[in-house]
Amino acid sequence: MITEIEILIQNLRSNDSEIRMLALDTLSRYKFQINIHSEYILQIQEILIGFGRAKDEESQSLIEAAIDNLKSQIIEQNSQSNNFESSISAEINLKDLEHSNPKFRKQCLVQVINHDIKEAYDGVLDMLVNEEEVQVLDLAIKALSIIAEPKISKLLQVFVYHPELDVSKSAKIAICELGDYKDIIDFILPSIDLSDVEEINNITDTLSKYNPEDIFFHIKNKLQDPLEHRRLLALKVLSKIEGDKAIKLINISANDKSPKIKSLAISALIGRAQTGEIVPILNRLVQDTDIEVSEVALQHLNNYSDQPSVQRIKLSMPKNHSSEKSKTITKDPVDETTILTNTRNIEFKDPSSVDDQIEVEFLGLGKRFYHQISSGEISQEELSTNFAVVQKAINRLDQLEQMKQNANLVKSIKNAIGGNLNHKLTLQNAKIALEEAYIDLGETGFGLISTSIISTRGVEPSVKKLNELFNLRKELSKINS
Amino acid sequence: MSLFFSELALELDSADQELVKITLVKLSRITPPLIEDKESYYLVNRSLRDISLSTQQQFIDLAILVRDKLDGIFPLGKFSSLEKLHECLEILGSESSSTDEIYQALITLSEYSQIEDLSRYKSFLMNENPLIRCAVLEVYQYHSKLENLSDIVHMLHDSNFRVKKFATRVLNRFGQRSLINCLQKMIDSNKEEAKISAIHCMANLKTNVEIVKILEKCSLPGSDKVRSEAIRALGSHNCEETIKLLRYLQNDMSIEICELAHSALNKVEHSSISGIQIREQVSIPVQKDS
Repeated sequence: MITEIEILIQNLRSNDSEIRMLALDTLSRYKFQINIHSEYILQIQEILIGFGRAKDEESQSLIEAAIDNLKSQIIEQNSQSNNFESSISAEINLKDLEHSNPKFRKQCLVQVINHDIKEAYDGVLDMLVNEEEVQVLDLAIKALSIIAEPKISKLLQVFVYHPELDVSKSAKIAICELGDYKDIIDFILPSIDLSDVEEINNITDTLSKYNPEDIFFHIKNKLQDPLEHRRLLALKVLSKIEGDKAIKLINISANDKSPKIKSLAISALIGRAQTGEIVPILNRLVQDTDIEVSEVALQHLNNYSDQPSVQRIKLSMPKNHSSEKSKTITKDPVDETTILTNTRNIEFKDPSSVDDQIEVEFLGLGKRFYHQISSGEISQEELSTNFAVVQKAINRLDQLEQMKQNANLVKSIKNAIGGNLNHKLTLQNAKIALEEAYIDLGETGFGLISTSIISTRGVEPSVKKLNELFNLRKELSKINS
Repeated sequence: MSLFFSELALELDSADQELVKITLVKLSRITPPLIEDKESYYLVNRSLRDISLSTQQQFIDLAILVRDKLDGIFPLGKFSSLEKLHECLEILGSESSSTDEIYQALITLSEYSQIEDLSRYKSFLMNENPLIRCAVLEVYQYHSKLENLSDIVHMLHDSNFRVKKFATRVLNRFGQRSLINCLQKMIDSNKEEAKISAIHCMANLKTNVEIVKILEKCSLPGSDKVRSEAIRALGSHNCEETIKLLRYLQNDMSIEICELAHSALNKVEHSSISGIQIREQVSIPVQKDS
């Protein structure tokens, strides 16, 4: 028959958070029987350790209350009788860390964690050499995060990559708790999965405790390290961080002497919105003496507008940062207080970032006008010049595309001698010229709509969006002045 | 993945002993996908070798274990030049070379891409300096073939624990099956010296029925020297078969054998299971030209 305590343990393990919370609440007031088996107590301890640090205050206080209740009852019952088995009380055999039975190793680790037994350090470290049991490994990492010095983060780095999610998560939590921003940057950030929103948010939260200037200073130092692998690692970190400052630092890597780093710098720029900063870097790398670097740069330059945007870690000012340094930084236009959000939830930090978006909208509007004029939906004298420029740019691009197809036969030979670069550059320039022609058409059309010369029919959303953006730009200009 | 052998090698060379220990444990968990610069393995390999041969007693076992594991999964990557090879061979051939020079020459040679003939190195296995014996075992680690196995089996019986560990590492390359086959061949040969080398090796291996059976065969009437060594070796293998055999040998015609069997029986009853376990399955790393 299933006992009351077994039901409680079952509920503590439930996947349903409400059931877990109720079980925690019960546990915080539970009166243990005097003859309870130590196995149950150890199971509960292990579950509570597994909960770790809860994000919300309610769960955290329930976990703490449950631990307090458990502790006080163990002490009380130990003083009253000998019914509680020795493994629950003071006597811990550290030799059990080497026990062939994982259950013993687990129990020993639970005790090490509960009693913060620093003497177990060497034993726990040694067991990590061969330990394969996931639960034991997980507990060993948790134990180290309690009994070891911050230096242990260097070891925990290897477990960040562990295929078992629990182990990897525990290693990350331990590094965040034990280490400082340098450890988080060096050991966690390079491996962070940019598609995992939760992970990105967790790290963003953790890093928000630190001054972004210190973080960037640390990365910048590494970018200038004489050892190539350290520069490479710093660049990997930058590829996970968003913002203009990150792009400026990537630009340092784009000037690195190592072609490998230069190529990776190009990849680190992908999926970012700051076209104005990125395109010049890519254009410069297109001219690089290393053929592979220039090819990669050109390829990304060609595809730039098609790149899907990638969510990255956003470093913001620490919430409780009170140093002199931070006071001066709050005036920085990049600070959170000056970030405004428009209806599409795109965040703008300064007027120039709004300008980029306005340009994107003009591009779309220009394309729409072009199709409307081509299909005869509208006919407007004032737009004819811009329309002709777009047509010319399209024709030029078509010609070049045709030439490119004809040249495909000898492409491999040209590739070998790097002779196809000029053609690719010309093609790239033609694409840019077409985009500029569309933007001009859109801008002129928007001017005509604003003065009520032409109607908004078919382009209402774009016009509405542009009006919002211009208003936003005005507000940002006021704040920044 | 973002782990670099170049960084791990720097950590291993650190003066901070705690960091060295942490790095050794970290290396024990390394798998190829985690490493970004696999071509730099030689840096870690050298640091691990230096630790294995250093006076840092507390790290020797771990360094050897880690190196043994990583050697099986990462290519050495960097090799000594032909010019260096000739220089080193000259040092080995000269009678005026110092111990340090010989040691360095052997270590450098171990990093050469391919050495076909190990006969010129065999004599260094008997060198009185344990560091030289370890260094020549380095050459055997990367260049020995199955036919060279018999050169080193006796080194499991070496008085120096570090030499024993280096010898075990070489034997691990070939695996238990190859080793037992080699030992059987040595026992079946007509050379007493080879038989005794094989028995010395078996005295140090972890107990298994096959080994006890070979020793049993050696303990039967024949060469007194071989019989005596086999009985002494049986004293390291605590199992039913050994006890039965030693009890029987206590009644042997030769008083010397009776006494030896008696003392081996005493030893076996108090012995613990501590023999060297040679790996069952092996994948011998192949040296490739850079």
